[in-house]
Amino acid sequence: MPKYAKSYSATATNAARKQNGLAALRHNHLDEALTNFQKLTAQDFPNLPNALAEVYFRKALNTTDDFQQLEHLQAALRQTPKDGRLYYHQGRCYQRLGNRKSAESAYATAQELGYTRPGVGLLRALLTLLKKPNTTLEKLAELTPEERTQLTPLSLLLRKQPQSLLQAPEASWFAGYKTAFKAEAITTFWQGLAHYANHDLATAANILNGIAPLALPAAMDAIRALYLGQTQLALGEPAQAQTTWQSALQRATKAHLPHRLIERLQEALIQTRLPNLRALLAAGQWAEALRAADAALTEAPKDFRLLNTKLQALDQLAQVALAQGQWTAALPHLEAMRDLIENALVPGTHIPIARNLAIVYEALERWADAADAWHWVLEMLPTREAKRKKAAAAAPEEAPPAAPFGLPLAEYRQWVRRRLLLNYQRAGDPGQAITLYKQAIKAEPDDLELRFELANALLANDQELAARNELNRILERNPQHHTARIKLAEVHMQRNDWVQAEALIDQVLATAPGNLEAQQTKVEMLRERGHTMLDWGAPEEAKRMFTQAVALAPQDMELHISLGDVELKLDHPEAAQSQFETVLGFNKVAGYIAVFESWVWHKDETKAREVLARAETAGLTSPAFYAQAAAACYDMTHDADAMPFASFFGLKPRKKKTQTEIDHWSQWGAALLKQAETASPNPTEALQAIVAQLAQRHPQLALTYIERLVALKPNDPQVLLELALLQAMNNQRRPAKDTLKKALKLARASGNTLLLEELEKLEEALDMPQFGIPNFFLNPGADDFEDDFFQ
Amino acid sequence: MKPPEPLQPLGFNPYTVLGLTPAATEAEIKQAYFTLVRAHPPETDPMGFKRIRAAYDRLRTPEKRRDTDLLLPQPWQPYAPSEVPLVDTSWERDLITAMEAFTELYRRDYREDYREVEA
Repeated sequence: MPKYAKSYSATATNAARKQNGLAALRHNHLDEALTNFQKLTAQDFPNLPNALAEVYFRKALNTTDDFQQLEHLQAALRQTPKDGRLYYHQGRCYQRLGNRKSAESAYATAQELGYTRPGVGLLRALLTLLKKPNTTLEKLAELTPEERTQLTPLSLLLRKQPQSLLQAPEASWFAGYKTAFKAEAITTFWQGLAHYANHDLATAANILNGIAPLALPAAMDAIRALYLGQTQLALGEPAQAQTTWQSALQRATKAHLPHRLIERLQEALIQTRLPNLRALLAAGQWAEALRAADAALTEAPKDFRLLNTKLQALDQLAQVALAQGQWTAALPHLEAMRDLIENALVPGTHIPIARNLAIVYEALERWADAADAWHWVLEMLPTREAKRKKAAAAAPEEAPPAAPFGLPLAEYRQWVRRRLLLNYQRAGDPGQAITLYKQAIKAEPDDLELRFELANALLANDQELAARNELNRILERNPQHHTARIKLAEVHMQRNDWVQAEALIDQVLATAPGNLEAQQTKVEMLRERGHTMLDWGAPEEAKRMFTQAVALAPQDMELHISLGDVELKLDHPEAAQSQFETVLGFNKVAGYIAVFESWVWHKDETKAREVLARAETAGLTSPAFYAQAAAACYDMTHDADAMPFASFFGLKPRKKKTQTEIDHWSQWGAALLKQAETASPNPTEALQAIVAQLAQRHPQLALTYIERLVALKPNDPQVLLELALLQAMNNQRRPAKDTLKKALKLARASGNTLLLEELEKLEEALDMPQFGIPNFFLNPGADDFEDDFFQ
Repeated sequence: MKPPEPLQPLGFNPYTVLGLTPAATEAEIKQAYFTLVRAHPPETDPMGFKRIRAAYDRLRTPEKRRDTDLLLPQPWQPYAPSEVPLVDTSWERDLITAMEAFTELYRRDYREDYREVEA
């Protein structure tokens, strides 16, 4: 620690601080000096303004950043506004930055304040010539005779009079150049430029090329190289020109030449690179364009035209991969675009980049990354306040700007937030989404849609109480916010608080009886309560619920089925029949199957056969139909607990079946399976339908049919997959693995990537001790089959 | 508590699967779907059916179609920069820059301008 700082501490006296500051200043430890002086007042140190000004002045001269230098000089001027030298250096700063007017003003003020020094006249003359290149040297009063001589070549060229410079240089020019550099080299430089101005490019190139780079001051050499390159380019030697400029750029960078010179050389290079880059893009040669852009950016890393070109190339490469569904191939390009934008100033909207990135991350199931990308989209959308201000400032009839992709801004933002939340949930971090929502609400507390989204986010994060509070806040602000009230009702439903839920829904329906969402929610509530009543052994109450629900949703087939089954349970066969007739009246395959199953379940074979006959008359039967009917019969050969649809109808387990019963239903099931086989002229279609219907409920039976199918299609990997599944479900793991092996080989050979994925999933599952079977692909489209497909 | 809503990343282009463009009408979508499932029924081509069905499912309602359209990748539109370079490339400026090498414009050491500060 410097000895003057030994006594410095929080309790040091002002006298000590003054001495320490002065000592630090003498040693040019400017930060220490400033720290000491800033704690003093004019009372402690009358000469404080001069001391502070001196510190700031020296800090200015010790920095190479012109903007920082200006700041320090301004700070010094605040202390000593009449110090001419400060204005002089300020003028130099402005001149370096290209601010001609401010520079001229600063120099003038310095002169007024009596500050003079050699060379100021030359600086001011250059400013004048920049503004008025045709000014003759005689009119530049501030110049000395020597300076006037020195400026002669420049003035001749500015006034477009290069002729006298074309021959051997004037001896008098040499005298003007008080420099360590060889005067001959300097005047040859002017001679070369004179030939350039005279359009004698070959001579200009020879002359300029003949001057060694180190023979000139660095800045002058940069200009030499610039015009040498221009002549080479004009003479049809673009590669040579580029080499000249590249070398000059390296030298300029090493010599720490002013930014303007470096940018000038970069601009020369860019102008030769851009046409080629654009041609590559236009020709669709994205990879080559990317390589060329990268090469160009090594020379001018911040040029936004080059950055734009690189982004275009990356984007096109990404789009090609995306169009082919190659998410993994697209990702590096999109990430490179993101990195480019984050690290460089590239104008324009980047929302599509963030969006594409989010979409790809989702496709690759990288949820946290997808959430970050959607967050980025959100950050780039205009803020609500900014939007409002802009709309208010603009003409009243001007529409607010639309969001990307044709949605109103608010709606799109809402959609993105929802996506963000879903991704955070998937990533196991819904709390992060909640934090974002809360921040947004703090900024816009009256935005009820935002509050509603927060409520959803809280629910997703199992923060039910917080969600209810938020929904109640919405309703306090707007009692007619039906969506919030319905959501609140759903929350109460989840808590089995039916009374409160029903009250809320009824409030909505009282003021908005046509509100579809409220109606649907009420129907769901009644449906759920009805099934709950059945579970609790209260069929009368269940009937009441289903009856109310049917009144609200008379087209809901499942409700009629539920009501019919309850009527049967209550021993009201006519009432049940009436409900089932309504279902059959919809003329849907699923309806016929459901009614058939109901009658079978209630062991009314006569009625079941009637339904079957009616389905046949209506032309609704198919292999799948008969297979489903058969499955229902086979369901009756098991005890109730094993049957998947028992709990669906809320039916309690029944007493064990007799062998006679079992045989009877088995026979009918077998007959129906035979009908399934003959219902289609295509045996494989029939077998496939049978397997699809039996696999989940009767895997042992399904196995016999899939084996028959495999015999017909031994090299179909899809069929082999199903065989492997059923073998596994029947505890035949070894045969399952062998079948799977064969299927994998065939799938790889066929290039069916989707099927390959399924097979690999099954292979993984088979290796797991607790084998869980993904069964969806055994039942393609069966869940909500489009009945009108057959119409 | 209800399970969280499925995220349903897109993962594919439903329009491409159905042989359509995003400008297709509702009727065209439905027609394409029915035509394709008749050609690829579940019994004979379950994977194909599944793919077609999944594509249709993403477009069958206005809400789903909106979500799908919002999840389709879009090309980035570059900002069209001005062709005027940001740096002054005029002949006059270059000449004056060359001459600046002989001034004190870029000099750094100005100790002669330092002043002693009296206590």
